Amino acid sequence: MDEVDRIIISTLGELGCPVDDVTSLSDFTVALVIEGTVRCLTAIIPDFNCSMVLPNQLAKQFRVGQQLANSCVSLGYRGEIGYQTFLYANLIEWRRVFVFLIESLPKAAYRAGGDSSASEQALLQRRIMKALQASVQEFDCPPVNYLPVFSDSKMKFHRSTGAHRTIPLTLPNPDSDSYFHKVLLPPLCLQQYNPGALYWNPWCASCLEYLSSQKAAQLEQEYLQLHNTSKHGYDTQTRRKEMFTQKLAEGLRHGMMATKHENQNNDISNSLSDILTSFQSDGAPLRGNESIFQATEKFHFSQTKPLAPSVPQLGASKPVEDSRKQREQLREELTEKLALISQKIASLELEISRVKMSIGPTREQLMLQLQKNAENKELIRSKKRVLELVAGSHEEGLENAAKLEEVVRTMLARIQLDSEKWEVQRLELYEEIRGLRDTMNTSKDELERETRQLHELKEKMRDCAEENQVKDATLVQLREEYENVNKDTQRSSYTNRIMEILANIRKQKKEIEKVLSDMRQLQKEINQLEGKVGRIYSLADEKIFKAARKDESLRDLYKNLVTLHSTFGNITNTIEQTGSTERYIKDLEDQIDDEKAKEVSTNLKSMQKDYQLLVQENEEMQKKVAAK
Amino acid sequence: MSQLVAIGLIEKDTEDIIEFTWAYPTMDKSIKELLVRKCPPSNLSESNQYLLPYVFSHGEGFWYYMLASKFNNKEYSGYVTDICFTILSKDFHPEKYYDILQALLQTFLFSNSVVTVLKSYLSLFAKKSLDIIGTDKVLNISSYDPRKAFIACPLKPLILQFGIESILLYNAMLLKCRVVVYSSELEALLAFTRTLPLLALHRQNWSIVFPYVDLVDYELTSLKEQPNYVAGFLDSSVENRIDLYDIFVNISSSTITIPEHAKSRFSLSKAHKEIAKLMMEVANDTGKSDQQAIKEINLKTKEMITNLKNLSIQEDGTPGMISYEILKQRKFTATMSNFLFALATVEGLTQL
Repeated sequence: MDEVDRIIISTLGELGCPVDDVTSLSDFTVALVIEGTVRCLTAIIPDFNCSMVLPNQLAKQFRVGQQLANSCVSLGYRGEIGYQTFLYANLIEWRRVFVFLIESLPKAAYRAGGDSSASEQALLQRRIMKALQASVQEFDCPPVNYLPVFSDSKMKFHRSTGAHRTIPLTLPNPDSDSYFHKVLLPPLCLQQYNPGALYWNPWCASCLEYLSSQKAAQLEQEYLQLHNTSKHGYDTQTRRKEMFTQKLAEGLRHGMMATKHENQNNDISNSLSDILTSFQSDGAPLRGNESIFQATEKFHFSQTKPLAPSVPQLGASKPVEDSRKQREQLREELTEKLALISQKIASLELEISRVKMSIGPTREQLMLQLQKNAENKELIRSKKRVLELVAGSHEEGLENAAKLEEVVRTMLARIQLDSEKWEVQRLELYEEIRGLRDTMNTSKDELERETRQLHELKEKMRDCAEENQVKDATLVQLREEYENVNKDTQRSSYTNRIMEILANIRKQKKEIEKVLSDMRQLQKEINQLEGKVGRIYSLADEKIFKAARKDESLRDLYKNLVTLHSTFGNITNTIEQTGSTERYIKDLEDQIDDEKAKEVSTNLKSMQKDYQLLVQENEEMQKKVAAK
Repeated sequence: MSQLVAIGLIEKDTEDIIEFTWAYPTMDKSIKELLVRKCPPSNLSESNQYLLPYVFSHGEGFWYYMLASKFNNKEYSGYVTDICFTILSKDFHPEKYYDILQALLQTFLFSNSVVTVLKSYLSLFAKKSLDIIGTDKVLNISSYDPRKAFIACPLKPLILQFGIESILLYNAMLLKCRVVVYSSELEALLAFTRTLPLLALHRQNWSIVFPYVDLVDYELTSLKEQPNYVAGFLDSSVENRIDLYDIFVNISSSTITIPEHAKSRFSLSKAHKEIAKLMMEVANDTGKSDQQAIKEINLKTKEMITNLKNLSIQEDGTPGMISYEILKQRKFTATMSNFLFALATVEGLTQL
């Protein structure tokens, strides 16, 4: 019991109850009991809400008690439980309830309260981790004032003199052809730009500028590639130029609109050249293909114009009329030319269609002709040969004809022989080919099968290796946990004690069984003896009765026998009765002890008091309600 | 026989591999590939039967004829399941070559050796005759009249199948258009394509017929080189190849389609109406034989051409060249004059 009490008290303490002064369950007060139960229930049931302090009013107390009892029942507590268990109960019931609750506590609750030092450590680690994360996420630019400088291969920090100035960097390049770039050029930080300006540190700023310009170029290229339309067929350079000129033209246009230039036209085109031309007062075209000198010449002339204002004003109208007439003439000429050309085109098209139509038949004729040529050639050739053979006299012709026949016959015979030989070879070879193909196919099938098996085996291997890894990891983890947990030796002592108790119980069981068997033995003997006695008595009874009928002196003997039997019978009965009453007495004594432990009388008294109080409170409340 | 070019043997084995195993004298690799692709064992129907055991077609300047049969002789080879004999030649005569191939096949089955086949082939070449094994008969080349090949397939059913639209076919043949024929059955395709030139019998030109073409670059390039042709396809996607035809004929559905670019050549005039009437009359007349029908149509065509020639007579009485002006003088309608001019061009009667 002490052990149980100690466990209960320690777990309640871990959960947060004020159990410092308490050493055993007998020191528990009702308030403590309630606080303990509430804490246990909050740990077990996630949404359990109850105040840990018992309210003053009895009704509320009853309600709280009932709530706790219901929760315990919902968790699966078997046994009588109600509000009375918490308010008026005795040690035994409290013990049972606490044991049940502590058994139902989830393991996390244990751990959370477990090693106080470990939790502090974990908290600290977490705090450190958070701080580090925060610091990493902030972009900390190194203070510009403190830039590193390498001198004598040592890094020193110097203050810079103010503005960032960048220099073009010479990066060492191991892929380049020049020996200097490949080998001789020292790393960036060791390149002394200006020995006299040790305090001027251009490296950081220059590096930053170089890298950011590269990045910008890369982004720009990507953007241009994204927006590059294939029908323009521009490369990045021209596209860039375009975009740049567009932007420039827009900017200038906005500027012009803002300043309201007087000599401008109302509709401003978007083209940069137009905008720039509009800047010039006399509307002269942009420099374009002219050389600088010609442009400056024009500029000069435009400047001298205002010096002679009168003369150009009078002659201004005439050149305009002339130009108009010229333009009209040009127009007429051009339209005439256009008409002529369109006529030409129409006629040419007609011709084209006509020619197209005649292509077909001419092509056919061509093909026919070619065919005929080929045939004729063949004919000519064969006839030539024949003529050659038949050239000479009649006999020679006949001879030649005979010779030709011979040749043809021999050729035929040879063809036949060759074809026979070839046939044999051919059949053999084809059989070989097909046989080999068969074997190839079968071996392919086998190969496929085996590769499949191999794959399967490999996969199995992989799976096993993965399982192995997982198991290793869990092993390491569990070992760590075991080492972490193995600090308190109480568990082993508990287990040892449990084993001792078990051994004791086993011994006791054996002894009980022994006793029981002895008792059964005794009972058997008693029964046997009783039986014996009964049989002997009946025999004796008979015999003596028979004898007594004949002989009167034996009647006394008979009477004595009967009285002897009956008195001994009484004795045995009384002995049995005394035994049973003694047993009854023992039972009753046990019951008395149990009831004493339940403290029913004290609880009854307090319940009576509470009942009276409750009645009073009810009356008061009724009065209040009636008063309202 | 100067028309024979080569003979070859194609075998199919148990692994469904079809190979060209023997040829005499030689055949180009490309032609061998073509023949292997076209031979009956390569083209099996869904029930694994030959689409047609005897196939002929035209390509690469040769007519090729193929006859296939099942083969199950273990003495010859344990692997061969089908054999197919092919003959390349320059002339068109499916019936003649069918008989020749039958005879050669018989000799092969009898003797199990290609040597005897070669002997028979050479005798064909030299003696122009072939002994048929198993009988006393002799196959004589001379007994096959080339002209009979032209009329072997009847024309009347063709006209009846397309009805009045067969005038479009007539027009196509007359004006030397490119005709593409599609059918889902090989037999119908072969029969139809060889009948079409009957509509323009006065030319007697069967070298424009390509009864069985695949949509393969190799064959299409040589086809495109021809100015006009009658080409048959088993692949229905040929309808999408508008570049290949001026008129598309679908035998399975009996429809004729003319693409946009060729519509100008098919504008029908009064002359067409007359001929169409004649064709329908002749086809529906059960009393007339096919030959008579063909003759009548041919006569009409010749009449038209002589009329055309007579339109321009030179000073010495001989017919001269036709030109647009002459046609305009006769006050024909626009369609009529276009048609006549096209016909004249095709017959070689025009001058630029």
